[in-house]
Amino acid sequence: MAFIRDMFDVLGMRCEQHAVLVSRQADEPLRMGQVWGLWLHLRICKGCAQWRKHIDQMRAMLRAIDAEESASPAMPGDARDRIARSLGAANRDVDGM
Amino acid sequence: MFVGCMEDARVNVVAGAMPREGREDAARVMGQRWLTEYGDVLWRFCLARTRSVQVAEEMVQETLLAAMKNAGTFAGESSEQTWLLGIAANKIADFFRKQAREGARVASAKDGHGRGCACGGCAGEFASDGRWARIEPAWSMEEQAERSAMLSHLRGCLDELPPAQAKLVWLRELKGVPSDEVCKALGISATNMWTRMHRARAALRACLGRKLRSAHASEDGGA
Repeated sequence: MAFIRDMFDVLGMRCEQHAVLVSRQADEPLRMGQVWGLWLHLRICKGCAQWRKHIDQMRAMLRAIDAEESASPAMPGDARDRIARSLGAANRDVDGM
Repeated sequence: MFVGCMEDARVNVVAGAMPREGREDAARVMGQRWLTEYGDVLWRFCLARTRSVQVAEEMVQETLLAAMKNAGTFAGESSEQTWLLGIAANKIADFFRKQAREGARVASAKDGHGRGCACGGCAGEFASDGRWARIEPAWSMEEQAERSAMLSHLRGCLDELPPAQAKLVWLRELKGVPSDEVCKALGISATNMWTRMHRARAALRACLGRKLRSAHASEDGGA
């Protein structure tokens, strides 16, 4: 019953709300009824389908950017030494620990 | 063995069982361990965001000092790396906010969509009846050149995001940190994260659309 209600709730939404739901689906799993409602809507709505496709493309590109960044040079030794010295000299309030 | 010892030390520190000098020593040892284990990850993250070796070094240092000071707040709900990246993201966002306040950062002002801008491009996507006002054209990324251009545009758009949205995208999309860990690392609710992520994605798409139209207009003008 909840499945049907969720599905019709989603089908009754405006594209503005579908767009939020599509984005949210990228961050967490939706309920099954929401998934089906959204799937049906995306079959008939070109704007929302394009939004979904663009989100997928942006996510793929962002992963590619991270892969490039992760392959960039490591921290230079002199910078590491300076940071290590500053951490060693830190005499901060560590009451939060 | 070493790590285990440090974890034991942290438990003692959290419990407040150590005298002040002992706590400071433990914090320094943890700071050095984080520098050894996560220094390169933090460095690449900070350098990619700030594009300045000096600023990146400052951000890594500030991140580790803040982590040492607040180690007691690390509840182990996310990985140490995520926790440190969350601190770094906050430090970098603060850095950009400060720069924006001081008016020093005027990059991207060419098209009127600088960092911190509310981004008018995100508005007007929908008509008053809640339907899409217009449908963004498909993005072609089949050719290597097209893909490279898109990546370049997207980097520029990342730079233009307001810091509060940018730090979410850095952690969630770039570093692939799970949603719940992002929420814990940044101290925000799940609903807050979805809302901000949606706005960030909408802003990124609008920005990419503008840049693509601008690039196509330049090509057409040059032809």
